Amino acid sequence: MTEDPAPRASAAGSRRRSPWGRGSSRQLLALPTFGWTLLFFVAPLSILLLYSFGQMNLITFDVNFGWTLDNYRQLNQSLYVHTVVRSVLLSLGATLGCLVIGYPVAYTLSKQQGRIQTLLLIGVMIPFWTSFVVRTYAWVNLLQNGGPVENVLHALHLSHGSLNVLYSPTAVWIGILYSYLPLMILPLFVSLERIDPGLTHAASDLGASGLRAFRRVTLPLSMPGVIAGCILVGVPATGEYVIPSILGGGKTLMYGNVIADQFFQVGDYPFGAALAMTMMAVVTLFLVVARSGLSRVEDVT
Amino acid sequence: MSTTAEQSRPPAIALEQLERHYGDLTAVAGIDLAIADGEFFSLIGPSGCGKTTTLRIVAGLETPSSGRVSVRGQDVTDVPAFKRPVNTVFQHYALFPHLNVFENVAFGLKERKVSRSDTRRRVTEMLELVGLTGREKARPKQLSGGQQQRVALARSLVLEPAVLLLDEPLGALDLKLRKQMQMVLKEIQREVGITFVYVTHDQEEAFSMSDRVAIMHKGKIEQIGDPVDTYRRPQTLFVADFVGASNRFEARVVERLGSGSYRADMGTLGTLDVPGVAGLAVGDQAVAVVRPEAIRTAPGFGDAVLDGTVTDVSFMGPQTQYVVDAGGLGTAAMLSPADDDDLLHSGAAQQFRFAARSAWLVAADPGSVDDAQ
Amino acid sequence: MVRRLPSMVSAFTVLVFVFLYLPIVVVVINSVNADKFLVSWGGFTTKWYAKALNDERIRTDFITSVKVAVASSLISVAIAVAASLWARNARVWSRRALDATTYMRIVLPEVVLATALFIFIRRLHFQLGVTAIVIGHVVFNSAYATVVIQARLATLPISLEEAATDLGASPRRGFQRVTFPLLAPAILVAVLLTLSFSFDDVVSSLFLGGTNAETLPVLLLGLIRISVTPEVNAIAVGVMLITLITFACAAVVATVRGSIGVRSTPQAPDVEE
Repeated sequence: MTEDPAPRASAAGSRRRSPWGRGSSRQLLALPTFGWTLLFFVAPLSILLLYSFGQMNLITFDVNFGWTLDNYRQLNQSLYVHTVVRSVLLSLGATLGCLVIGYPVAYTLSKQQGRIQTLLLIGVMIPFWTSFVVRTYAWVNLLQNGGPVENVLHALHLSHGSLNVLYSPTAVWIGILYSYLPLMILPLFVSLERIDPGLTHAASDLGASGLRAFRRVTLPLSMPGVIAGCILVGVPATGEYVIPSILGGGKTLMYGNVIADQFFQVGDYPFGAALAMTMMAVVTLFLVVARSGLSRVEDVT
Repeated sequence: MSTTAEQSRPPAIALEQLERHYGDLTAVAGIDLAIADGEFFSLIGPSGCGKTTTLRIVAGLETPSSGRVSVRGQDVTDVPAFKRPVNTVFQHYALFPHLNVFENVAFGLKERKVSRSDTRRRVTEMLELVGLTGREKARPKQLSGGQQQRVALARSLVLEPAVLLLDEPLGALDLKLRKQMQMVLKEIQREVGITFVYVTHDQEEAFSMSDRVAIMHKGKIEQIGDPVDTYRRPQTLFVADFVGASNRFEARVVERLGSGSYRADMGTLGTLDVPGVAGLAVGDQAVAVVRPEAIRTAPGFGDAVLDGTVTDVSFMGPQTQYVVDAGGLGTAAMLSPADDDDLLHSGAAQQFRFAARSAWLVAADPGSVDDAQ
Repeated sequence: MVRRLPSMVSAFTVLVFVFLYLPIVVVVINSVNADKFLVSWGGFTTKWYAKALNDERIRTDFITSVKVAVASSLISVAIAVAASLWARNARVWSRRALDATTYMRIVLPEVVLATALFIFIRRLHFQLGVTAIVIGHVVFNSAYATVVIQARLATLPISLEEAATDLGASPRRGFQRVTFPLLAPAILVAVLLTLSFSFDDVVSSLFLGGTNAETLPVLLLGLIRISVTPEVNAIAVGVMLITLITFACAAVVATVRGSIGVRSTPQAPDVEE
């Protein structure tokens, strides 16, 4: 019989396709997304990479693409090393804080039922839905000397004198923790909710105490949620710009602010590009580690 | 099997040399088939045998790698699905969840630009036929599985297709509803007179409804025929096994007695005269297939006797199934009516008998059947 | 022991909720606090709102924000719908390519994307401004929209489209009568989601707006960095309300869709009536 090459290429036993074929006009549907990505994502990032190996004449503002590693060498300066370390530490600290605070909350939510659970979930998400700048700015009101937090601490005799927290790394840490907490609670909740309550009952039946049942059953089974939450919080926190701008008050700068300064104040594009590429590398590393951890725990469960 | 109409009119569906490959995988490996107008035809086989792919090719939802599909004598191989005069009832109904029952049934009529009043009349008639009058406003979600099934049926039948294709339409229903819907389908088919092509893996279901069945295996049709013939005279060991339980006894052909009958050496059962498929030669290794219900314990019954011990008894209401350990002959199953004098007990040693003419010889290895037919 | 732990945990949860809402409450209270220095309660006033509403710059920036949000949302969702429909029929590796680019666009730190686009636009001598901001927002918004719409498409069995074809609907008609109505709620959710993401965005808007365009969050950030003035609280509450309302709409659409099944966009009226 005649050979029909067209339908052959698909993977053997592949899932069914919609009946409307795969005509060439259908392929046009892919054009906008890949076109936009290529033009406004891949191309700009490539130029950024190119710039990071270039040099800028600070008088004429011309960029020479000299394939120099100078920009990356400059990162060795203690200012930038400190910034990178500070950003990573703040991001890790905030991620850890979110995890410690978020886990009990997610656990409580997963034990609720029906309407109450929905309402509580919405309650967790509402602060996340409010404007990011506003959310962060609210902490300026709270943390300022003579503000509510100071008053409460004084009333409880936990501290004396001025709080002096605003415009410090602690304030930035609190800001990140606060803003990203819902992003930690949500995946934790999803993974905890999925655990069959029968499993913990079974563990108790087999003689495990409440805490032991939690440690031996619930905690390992919720690991995918823990890792997903850490990705959702850790990645954007590393590149955070708004929170340190508002709560760091120009003193405690994070990585994102240093990059922005290179573009807006210093005007050294190649160095800014090198900083940005380095951040990409840091985040990619973080993701690779987290995802390999994720695939490991998902194998187990 | 043959009607006079078959000669005068082109078949409702004709498949020629149909093949479908997915990469290295062959789903349909060359099928030739003609289905007469008005026939209730079933394609049966185990999952992965290519029956659903064949049906989808007829519907136009899948493109054949090679071969031709004709409907009422017209080649439709290259006609897109939405222009073919065939309609499908899908396995999970595929009712449109955003439309109510009426709108679902009217879907195809709207595409054909049928007038509002005609649409209303035809949909109402059709809903009456499937027994859903009064449920026009209901959404698919609000209906039971059986009702959804009827909507799917009505939605296709209202278009008066040349052929209605049904892909495991009762697969999602429980057993009782299944039996009920089998009757409904058969009745409706008789009433509307439309050709039904029915795909199922359930041999009993197909047998109870169909005029003819085709048994598929590994992308090929192993046998086509009416249910009785297929059950009594399977052409291959695969068909014998697939269409109901069967006991197998090794046999060697020692003499051809003409007209599909053989003298066979069956070891401890002795030498018996057994009917069988055409084309077996003297010396061929064959298998004698004996249906469980052909075995009896009554003294003097039949001419083949095997000594055995009952190892398992399953009482199933109208009948009782026994598993018998027949020593060197292996295990055998026996099915006897419930009113059989007295039930045997597990561990009972007994003589079991069957008539040689109720056995059926098929080739032990399918390759050894020559093309004598 | 077994019993005491959960009650401690619940008490802790209550505390966390206080933590989550306290800052928002403080902003709302301060927006109507007549005390200029915001150190104590100085009586109720709406003058900060009045001041904010009469500010020319705030009004201009608000309009810019809305323009950017609407444009980037519509473009993003259109791209996402096309991409998702394409992916439904595409080969495995093409689908993986789409998933990878979607994922990358979501996880890349926005600062990196914004600097890259900034250099790109300067290099090609395009202008920074509203168009540039929209371009930037569409990069990540189209990714979020794709996730939402693909998730919905995945719940629609292909047999629905097959049934439409089987009943005589051409591909175009089948899309109109089956796929689109079933997709409509997800499209609406995607529109609202991207609207609010765009309206709330700071980094891309700051980098790509240049001197030509300023959005409300960017203005707010600038004001906050200078000093805390009472009318900042009023603007903040305004911005908060807008994002909150959009998100609430998205949530309502999502739950309504979930609870009463799918209600289509205007369908043909019941032939029955």
